Amino acid sequence: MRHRGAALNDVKHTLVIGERINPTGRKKLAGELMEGRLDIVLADARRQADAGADIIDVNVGIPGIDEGELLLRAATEVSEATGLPVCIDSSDPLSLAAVIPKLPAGTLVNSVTGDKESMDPVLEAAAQTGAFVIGMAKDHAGIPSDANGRLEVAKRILERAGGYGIPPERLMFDFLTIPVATDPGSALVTLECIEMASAELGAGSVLGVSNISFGMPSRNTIHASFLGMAILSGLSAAIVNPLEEGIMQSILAADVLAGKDARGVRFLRDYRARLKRGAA
Amino acid sequence: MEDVTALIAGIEEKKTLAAVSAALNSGVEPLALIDQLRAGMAEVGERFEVKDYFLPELVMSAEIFNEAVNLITPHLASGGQARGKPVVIGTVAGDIHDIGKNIVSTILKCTGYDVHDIGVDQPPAAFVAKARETGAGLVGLSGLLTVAFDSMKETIQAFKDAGMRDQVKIIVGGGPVNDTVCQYVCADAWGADPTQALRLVARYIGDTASVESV
Repeated sequence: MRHRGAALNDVKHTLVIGERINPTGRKKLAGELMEGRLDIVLADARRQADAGADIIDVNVGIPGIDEGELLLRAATEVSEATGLPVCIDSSDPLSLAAVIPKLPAGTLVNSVTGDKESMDPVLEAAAQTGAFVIGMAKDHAGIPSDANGRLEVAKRILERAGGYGIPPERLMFDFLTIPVATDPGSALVTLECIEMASAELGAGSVLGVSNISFGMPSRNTIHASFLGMAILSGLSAAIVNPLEEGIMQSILAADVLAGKDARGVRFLRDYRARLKRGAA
Repeated sequence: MEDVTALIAGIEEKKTLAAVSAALNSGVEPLALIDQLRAGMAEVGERFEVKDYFLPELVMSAEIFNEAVNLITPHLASGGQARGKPVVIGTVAGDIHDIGKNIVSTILKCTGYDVHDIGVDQPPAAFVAKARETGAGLVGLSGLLTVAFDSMKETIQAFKDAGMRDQVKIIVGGGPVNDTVCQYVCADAWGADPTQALRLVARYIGDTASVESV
């Protein structure tokens, strides 16, 4: 399998991880996966790639299926269909550990938590293949409420990874986001963590934006603003639905403003492509 | 004098509290004031349901209600602390999601129920013990993960095993909870948002007893 994308840590622009392939709340997709079919998965993968995703997240978690087997098949076919690296996504560490050795080195693994049962099998497998690993800043006790608490969990994962020979450059941290509707300071905590990830840990960061806007209207505008702030704070990768109205333009525009897309090369290329499709 | 109902329904924190203080000073019946506040809260709930109000406004109104009740409580006949009917709530074993649970907990508290929130990842025995200790007539089980459904089922079974199932109504909630889940876990009902939860609690154990001094 060859990837047209550069190695994950060679890029300067904000990476886009397409999050669409996930059966949670998608009955049709869940039904198809139950039957072992991948038509929707591959169609979603191609649409996200066309929209500008750099990496395709693949989550096939449904109760009662052999997740490892299906995850491997879906990940392999998605990568072949798009030419992009995949981000294998599961809450079951053993499924992840079983699949990692069978995928190429540039694969991203989503994710480990700060708990041993989660870290050990995944990090051990990832150490042998050169996979990148996302560490979630939470553990069995929950999500720490402040930035220091989340950094502590991240450091624990970093040290554990180091023990397996995985350097910080191959880790990305997901500092998670509590809905701003219930916690007015929640975005600020996440942004502070993102800044510290590169400054203090030498690791990357990923951000899923949909949780921030829970309970609020006009969610797209909140996502766009949050992404702009996170990109300025040093975000490495955004986990988004690239098909969501305006989301790709927001990221590309923020990259121009944050100096991550010199002379707007990527922004302008995207603009012309949209114009051609009659969508600018 | 400004209308307390309209003020809290408009999420006017300072004005609501000022109006409540003024009303108390001019001798308005404390219980009547609580009724007016509750009518305002009901309007907030209705506007939330039709997506005119949003989550931060729902939470804010509950906070205003709580502050207003704190102003009123010392004026109640016996001067004692108002206490509502007991309710037990928590996130079931294997799950640590608590945002929805916390919102429901806050809204119930602020509406006057005596809420015992036992936290996240709580085994069946913890729910049973707390319900027994408090004499709660209603237990709320929360969970977001699929694994939580089996925990909910086990928790409800634990109430049966303890011979307490007839004494408590059990409601469930959380992101993916629906009719099917409700039947699977053998709960009495389920709710999709905080106002539905509030309505279920009121239906099962009656309006809060917050206006009765103990």
